[in-house]
Amino acid sequence: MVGAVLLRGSFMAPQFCPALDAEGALGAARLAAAWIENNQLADGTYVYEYRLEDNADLGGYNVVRHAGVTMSLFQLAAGGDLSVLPAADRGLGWMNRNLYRNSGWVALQNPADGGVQLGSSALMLAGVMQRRFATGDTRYDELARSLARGLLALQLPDGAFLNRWNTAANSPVPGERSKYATGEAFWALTLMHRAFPGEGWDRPARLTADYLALHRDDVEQQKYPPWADQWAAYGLGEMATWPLEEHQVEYARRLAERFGLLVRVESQRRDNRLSKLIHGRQARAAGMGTWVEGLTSLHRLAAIDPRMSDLEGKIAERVACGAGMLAARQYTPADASEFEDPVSVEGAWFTEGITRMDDQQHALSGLLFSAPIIQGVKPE
Amino acid sequence: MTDFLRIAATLFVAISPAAAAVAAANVPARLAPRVVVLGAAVAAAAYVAAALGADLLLDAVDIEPETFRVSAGLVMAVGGLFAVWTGGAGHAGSWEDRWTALFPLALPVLVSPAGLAATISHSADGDTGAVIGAAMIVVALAAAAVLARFGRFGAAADGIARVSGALLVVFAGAMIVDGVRAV
Repeated sequence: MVGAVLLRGSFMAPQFCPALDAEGALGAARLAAAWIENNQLADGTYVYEYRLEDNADLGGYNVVRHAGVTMSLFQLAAGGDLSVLPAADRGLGWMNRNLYRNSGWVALQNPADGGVQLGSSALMLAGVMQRRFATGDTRYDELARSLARGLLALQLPDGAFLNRWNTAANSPVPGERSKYATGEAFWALTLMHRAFPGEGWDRPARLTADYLALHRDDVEQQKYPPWADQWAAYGLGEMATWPLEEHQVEYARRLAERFGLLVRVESQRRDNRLSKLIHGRQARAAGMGTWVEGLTSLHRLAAIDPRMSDLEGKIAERVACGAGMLAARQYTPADASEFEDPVSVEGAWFTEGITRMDDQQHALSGLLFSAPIIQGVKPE
Repeated sequence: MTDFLRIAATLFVAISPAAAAVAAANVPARLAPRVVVLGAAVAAAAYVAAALGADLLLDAVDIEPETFRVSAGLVMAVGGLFAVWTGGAGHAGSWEDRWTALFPLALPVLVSPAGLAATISHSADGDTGAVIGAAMIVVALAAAAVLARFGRFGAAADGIARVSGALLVVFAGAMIVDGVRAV
């Protein structure tokens, strides 16, 4: 009996997946986008961190996250909501004004310190691609190619990427890799192949897919492999019709297992002290959103590739659970009306009283792509 | 290994006929066959109920089968360690009672926490038919082992029970890993 009580309080704590329909998921995604729009500054940047308790803009900025937030708005536009394009274009405009130009390629540069980071350019490129898919507008095609060439300037022969370009030395910074940026660059290259199928962008993408599937966790010494990389999942989902090689499918399955576990564990967490003590703090939206993003991409793969089809139903369950938790934890307009500055609150997710712009980014993307899965629409 | 053999092997070490025989060695006189048959029938009914009701049970306690797999593995691991330590099947006390068929024979000798956890977990994973079939066979073997009273072969039964316990720990570990790795 004591054992049963202990189990119930720990590993067998009840899982709670709030119900959410497709309309609710899209509504929550739009509300997240509204927070991003409402908290965009005149120069195209966004409020980076905001504290609820004293209505404080905490300042600070991160260029990679700027590119990511802007990209998520373009994803929503590509999903059919073109109303976010003006805000997304302002975000893109800020990036266009901060380009580093080298011979034959460009990269997004941090105006604060001059740094050129792989992830910034990769997510800027992904955003430009989403804009193209949303509008059919080809005006940024050359920019996209230049950005993609900039990514390749950092690619190593084994498919991995170095994380920074040293502008003074005009060469990559050796030895530094990023557990985020390699997947971001990989995904951006797969999008390039979708937009420009005859230009050979699939070759470097496949090389990186192999690195991610076979070597990354060892080379980059991931403690608990596989690294839960939703960017890699995006890329694999994009490659579903290429199709994937066997070891890439195996990697995709391991990613699905990892994201599934993370969602299951999260569904056992509650916002109270006892749960925090036993199960840890509830994940922030920027974390949970990435799990749902990863699962939605892998769901596409499972729906298309018969080698993953046995996971399709379970992945859909986890997507619905993760999206339900996200929607349930979002601050609605009614919640926001109780605070001093509702515009800084509604549509956001707060962890210990603070929201960061990428909370909205990842939750937006996850909710957006979960809607058709919840509705039971088969991916194309 | 087929699903049925895998499940049968798991239930064999979880219910452990050898451990049941060791536990029954404490009975002062041979149990009447009708008592053993009655105890086995109760145990079989309990396993059938657990298998058929697994989905309902997990729904009622809001647990996904994949998450339960981890908990089941933990229960099985504890049962396995207990068997390795004692060689018995969860009851070392008196068998002198009019309800011997029910207690301790059916519960906890034949219906062990490890056996129940394995039954519920495998059934929730969609293998209800195989679970019921395997549980019937293993309960029958355990009942036969109780009835046989190994006498001078008691030491052998004790050894087999401990080996079964060790195997149960291994199977439990695999189940935990499987639960953690599941989507």
